[in-house]
Amino acid sequence: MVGKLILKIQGELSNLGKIRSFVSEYAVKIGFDEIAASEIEMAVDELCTNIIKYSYSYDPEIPPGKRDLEIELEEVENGISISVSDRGKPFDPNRFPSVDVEEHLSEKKTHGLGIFTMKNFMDRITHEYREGQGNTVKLVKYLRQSD
Amino acid sequence: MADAEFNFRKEGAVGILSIKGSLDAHTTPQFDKQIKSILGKSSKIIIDMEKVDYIATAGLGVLIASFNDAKSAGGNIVISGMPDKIRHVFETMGFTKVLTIADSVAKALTMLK
Repeated sequence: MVGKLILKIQGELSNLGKIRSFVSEYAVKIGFDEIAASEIEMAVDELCTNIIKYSYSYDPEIPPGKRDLEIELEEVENGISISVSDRGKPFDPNRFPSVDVEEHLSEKKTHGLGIFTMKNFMDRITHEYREGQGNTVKLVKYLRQSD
Repeated sequence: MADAEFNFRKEGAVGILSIKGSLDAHTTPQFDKQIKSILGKSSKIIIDMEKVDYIATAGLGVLIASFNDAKSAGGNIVISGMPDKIRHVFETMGFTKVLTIADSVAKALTMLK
């Protein structure tokens, strides 16, 4: 088993690359192949982007220096669990409806695809909000036989 | 690799934008600026993604908007040289049904001439 790892980082768009590397390297260590690891890194990147762009940016109650993210990686039985915690207002990805991508693209729309990515690439998404502390979104993906 | 580098060159009437690095929410504004500037010069564009290691939905959004602008101007955008993991994202999101994809810049040039 690979040990649990935690990254505490400022919630800024310029840190997305560091977050992706942190996540994908761990996923590969567990045994995910390159494609599955890229799905995991994209789901986490889109989640963090949503928090940074739509939660932190518009919340004047959280000053820029306090807009931190905590990303916890854990190997679970036959898979990976990633918990992303922030101090923002309630944000539950499960409450956003899945878009019909083909219909979406035929109408030349691209918003909402970040949530689609999370739901499509991960096996389970759970959300917890604690008053005064913020959100924790947990993403889980299981290894397939081809990984 | 977290940043992105952009290089532009022309082959006749076709503009070729080669990108190296990541197209995420941080670098997408630069990508948007680059492609808008190129669309002012040419409506036939190749986007060489051979050295792109990541694309987020923000980058895909810029691609779709640019593709529509190029089509409206009577041109086209061809994406070339995508690594497997980038192609996988395009396929999953259905972008391969909308955008024109080529294996290499040379093949993309043939398609646009």
